[in-house]
Amino acid sequence: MAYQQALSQGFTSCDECHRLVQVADVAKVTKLNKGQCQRCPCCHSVVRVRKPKSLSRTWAWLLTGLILLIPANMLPVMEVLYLGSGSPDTIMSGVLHLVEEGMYPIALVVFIASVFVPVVKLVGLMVLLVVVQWKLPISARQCTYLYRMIEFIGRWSMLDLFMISILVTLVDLGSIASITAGAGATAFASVVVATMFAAKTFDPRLIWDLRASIYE
Amino acid sequence: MKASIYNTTTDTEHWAACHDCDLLLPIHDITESQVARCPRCNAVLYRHKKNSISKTLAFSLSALLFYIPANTLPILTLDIYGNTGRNTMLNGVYRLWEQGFWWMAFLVAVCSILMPLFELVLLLTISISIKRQRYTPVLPFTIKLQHLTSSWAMLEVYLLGIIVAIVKMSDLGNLVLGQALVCYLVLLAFTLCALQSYDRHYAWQATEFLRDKSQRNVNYEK
Ligand SMILES: [Zn+2]
Ligand SMILES: [Zn+2]
Repeated sequence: MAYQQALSQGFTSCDECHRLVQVADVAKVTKLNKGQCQRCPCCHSVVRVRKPKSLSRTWAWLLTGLILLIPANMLPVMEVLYLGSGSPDTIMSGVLHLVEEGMYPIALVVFIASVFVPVVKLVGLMVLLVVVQWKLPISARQCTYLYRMIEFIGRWSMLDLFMISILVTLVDLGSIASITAGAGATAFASVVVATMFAAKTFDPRLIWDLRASIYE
Repeated sequence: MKASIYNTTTDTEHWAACHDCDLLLPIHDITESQVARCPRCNAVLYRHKKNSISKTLAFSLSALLFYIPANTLPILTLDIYGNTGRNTMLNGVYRLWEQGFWWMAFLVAVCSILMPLFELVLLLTISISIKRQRYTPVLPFTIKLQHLTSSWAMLEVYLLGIIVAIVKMSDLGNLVLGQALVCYLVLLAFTLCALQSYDRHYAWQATEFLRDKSQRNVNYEK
């Protein structure tokens, strides 16, 4: 079966309503390859052949996420104040506490959501970027699956944030005991947001564009 | 209202490009409960949803009824030595703000309170205006906005947060599940149903049809 990139035929799909749109000037578009200002006939949103500056924007968000990952894991995400003395918890020590208390399933859930998912997202996106940038011969289909997985799991990292917002209200015994959020949580929240933007700005069609010559 | 009335004769309407791999594909009519997938990358291209608009209308309206109690009444109450801490979705945000963590407070407010509400209101407006067969210039705008909100509304992740909090705190004192937990669960269920039955593809087709119709009427009146 002859596969054809829509772009090579002078078409592209609208990001908003998925309608097929004929690109006004094919020669110009294949040269510039992004950021053409043309409106979709159906929804009137700006039609872009590919997401604009996809690679550099994704790199920017990715590096932001990577840098913030360090304070997110080193600084305490929350602090339990008990009779005036505080015991700060980082993400990892929180998980270890749960393991010590024998709450294995919950420890696993928290570990996956707040350690595993952000790392997998950052590494996965980096692999995709390297594949596109160095034109590595890796299965485009598997790369697309990886991208879809990254897009899907991203939101579950917010678990830690929601959990902290619940705990600070529950344990509120004035001078006896209270829980406060920590600076690490702010950094962690930023990691989640940065990786979500990184996944959004990456364009999976770029992986297939590399292989366009194979199908034609 | 059947999908077939929206078909016109332009060639671009019988072809589609996969949004994940840019493969050029002919559109086949699919029957109920079928899913059209890209043969190359397996992306879901479109699916046929029965009574999409009516269902979205019903579910989003029912979800909205539970929104205020779910946000303002206590979801969890913890009792330690006669001191009680109450968690509502709103005061979680307020406490974080009070402690000086404005960025976290902002994110929690956006993802668990504002965006879910916004999404439901938008779904309701979209389905009402398509149901009434009225074209307003706001309609395309609302469909675009709904697309934006969908990735930031994280009501289902909040459920996981509640579960973890329950397990963590159950040893500490007397943990009572509040009546708002039920409201929250109903809100979550109806929201997911509304999203599941909403068909953006169809909403755009309907919008285009209604716009053409309204333009024809204007011309006729002249
Ligand atoms: Zn469009
Ligand atoms: Zn595809």
